[in-house]
Amino acid sequence: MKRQNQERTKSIVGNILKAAFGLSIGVMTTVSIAADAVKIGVVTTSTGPGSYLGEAEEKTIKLMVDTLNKQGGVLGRKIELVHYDDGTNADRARTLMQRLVTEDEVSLVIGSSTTPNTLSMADVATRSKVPLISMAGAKVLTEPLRPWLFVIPENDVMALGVMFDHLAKHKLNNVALLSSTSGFGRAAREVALELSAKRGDVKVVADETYAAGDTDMSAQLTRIRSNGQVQAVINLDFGNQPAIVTRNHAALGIKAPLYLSHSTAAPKYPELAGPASEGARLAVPSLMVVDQLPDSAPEKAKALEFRTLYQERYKELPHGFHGYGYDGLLVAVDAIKRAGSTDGQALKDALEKTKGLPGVTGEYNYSATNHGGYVPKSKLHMTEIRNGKFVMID
Amino acid sequence: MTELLQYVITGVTVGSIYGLIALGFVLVYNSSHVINFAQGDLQMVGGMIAVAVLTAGLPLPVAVVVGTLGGAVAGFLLYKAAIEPAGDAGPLPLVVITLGAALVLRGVVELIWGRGYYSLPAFSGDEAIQFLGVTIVPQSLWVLGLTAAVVVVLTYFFNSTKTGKAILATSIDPDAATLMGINTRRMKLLCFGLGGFLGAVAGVAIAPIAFTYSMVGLMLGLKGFVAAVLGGLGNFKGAVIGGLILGVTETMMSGYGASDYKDAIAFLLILVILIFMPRGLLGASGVERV
Repeated sequence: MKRQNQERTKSIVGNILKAAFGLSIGVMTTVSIAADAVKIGVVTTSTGPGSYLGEAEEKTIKLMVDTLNKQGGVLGRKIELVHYDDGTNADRARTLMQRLVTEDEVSLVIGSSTTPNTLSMADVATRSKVPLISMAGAKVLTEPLRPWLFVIPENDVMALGVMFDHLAKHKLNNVALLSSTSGFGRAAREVALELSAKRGDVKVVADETYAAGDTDMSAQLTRIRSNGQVQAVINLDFGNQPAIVTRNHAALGIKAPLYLSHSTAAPKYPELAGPASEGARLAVPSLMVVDQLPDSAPEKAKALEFRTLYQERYKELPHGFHGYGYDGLLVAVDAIKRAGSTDGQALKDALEKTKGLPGVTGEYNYSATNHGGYVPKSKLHMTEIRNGKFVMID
Repeated sequence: MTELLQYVITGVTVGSIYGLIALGFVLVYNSSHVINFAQGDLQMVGGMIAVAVLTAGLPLPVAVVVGTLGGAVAGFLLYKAAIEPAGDAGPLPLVVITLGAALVLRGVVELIWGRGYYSLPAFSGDEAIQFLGVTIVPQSLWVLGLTAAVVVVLTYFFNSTKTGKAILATSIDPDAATLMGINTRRMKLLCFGLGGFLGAVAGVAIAPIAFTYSMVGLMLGLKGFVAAVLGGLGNFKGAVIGGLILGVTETMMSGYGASDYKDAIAFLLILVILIFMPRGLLGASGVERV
């Protein structure tokens, strides 16, 4: 249904364009002008459980493509966006990728929002030699290196590292894990266990889980509370359940501070959890704390500019995941500019030469051996919720 | 000891949520022999409308009332738009229709309010009550109280009022009921409306605890359905007891066993109960049509 709608919208827009051109230039030229646009394919997870990611990215990319086109597009050509929603379904993501390269003949694809969906699209990218820029962040995307896949967010190991650094620095060496049994929660839990074993300064002394859809985690938290060793509680999940965990944590009067995954970083979180979220700690992308960044931060100016643009159009504040959409398009457009063409191989080469490109979540650097774009230091900032706001802490 | 008490209390609060949702299933099943799989989504609609009214600046009690009435309207619409046009289709096609209606409700809500999460403030504050070292959230008491009240009211309604008996008669034998001068269509309409109302009551009461979002009805609806089956579809008290058993078992499993297996144990329990007591804990009322 959704796809039909999108197609209809697309064809309506197409018809309007054709009519407009047709009036002045005639139908034959329309075809060549349409072919002249730079076609960028986008697959986001805008429905289903991952929708909180994809919806933000979709809105951002649409806004930024419009903005870029108003400024004259890229290479003197308009950007034509072909967008599909994969519905949090990896098979569908693969089909859509196939369709983008064979039917829509796009020059480059940005997508998708989640790791499994990106992985299923990556094979198609390799086979058809079309660069794929992913907005998902698991380490498996870049290790081993996939020649046609580039990743925007930093990987989950680095993100969790920021939290572990903070724990170690504040001598909270014994932690309890409380993770969801959803795909994301399980993956994050494994990363946490691995990281803990590797570092040695943060030990996991309790390991609890809960299922998607559970409405109360008091039982797991009671068990954690009765474990005298626990100095901090780490919740690994996204969506609404971290807010329930936060409320239960507060209601049970647990003294050990609560740490949350960076996937919870959205203004919605303190809003949902209410006063219970005071003192909760989590690492967030720059976009969330742009006002608190020093002026020397390379991403600050761009992030402020984007925030104003976004607020004007959607009447709401962007959060971290909007930033990944923005930066995905930014990295793509930058590569197209430098390549001076829309040829797949040229784009891939240009992507690998991306150097010191400031986005809204940080600076991007890629090379032939590094498709993760990461810099030595994480781009996330540790924050604590104070008065319902994300406040940067040491 | 404190831990055990905490697990029991948590289990009861979780279970009463399941029970409250299960009551909606039983109500519609009793009157039409249809398992309304849109029940969880009617609950969601109630919660969402209440949030919208609250966001518009009206006080919480108004939001709660409008939300529950909105659920009733959604129930009426569900009957008028989907069930009635199906005419004399048997219970099974109607069940499939409710599955479709659930998707429509979810879609409509997503179009209007998006896919975000929303919360309602608790009816009487967020301050947790400490008792013998056990923590209780006041909203849980509301859910428990509402569940009990709904059971009493529904039992009275079906056993002692003319309308209630007319609804029962309609479900047992629509033809005979028509001959007795009962407007069976109106009874069914009333029932779906009541089902929507009840679902919305659950939605509004649960929203401060578990929040509300377009997909909330999916999982809670399923648990509510399981609770209803466990208690013997068709029995109000059974539904609540089924919900409580489910909630307490899940919580005990998270507390003492591995939380990974808590759902597995809960569903195993259902299998065992249904094998040995195929009609559920409190059994059907013996009005099975042949």
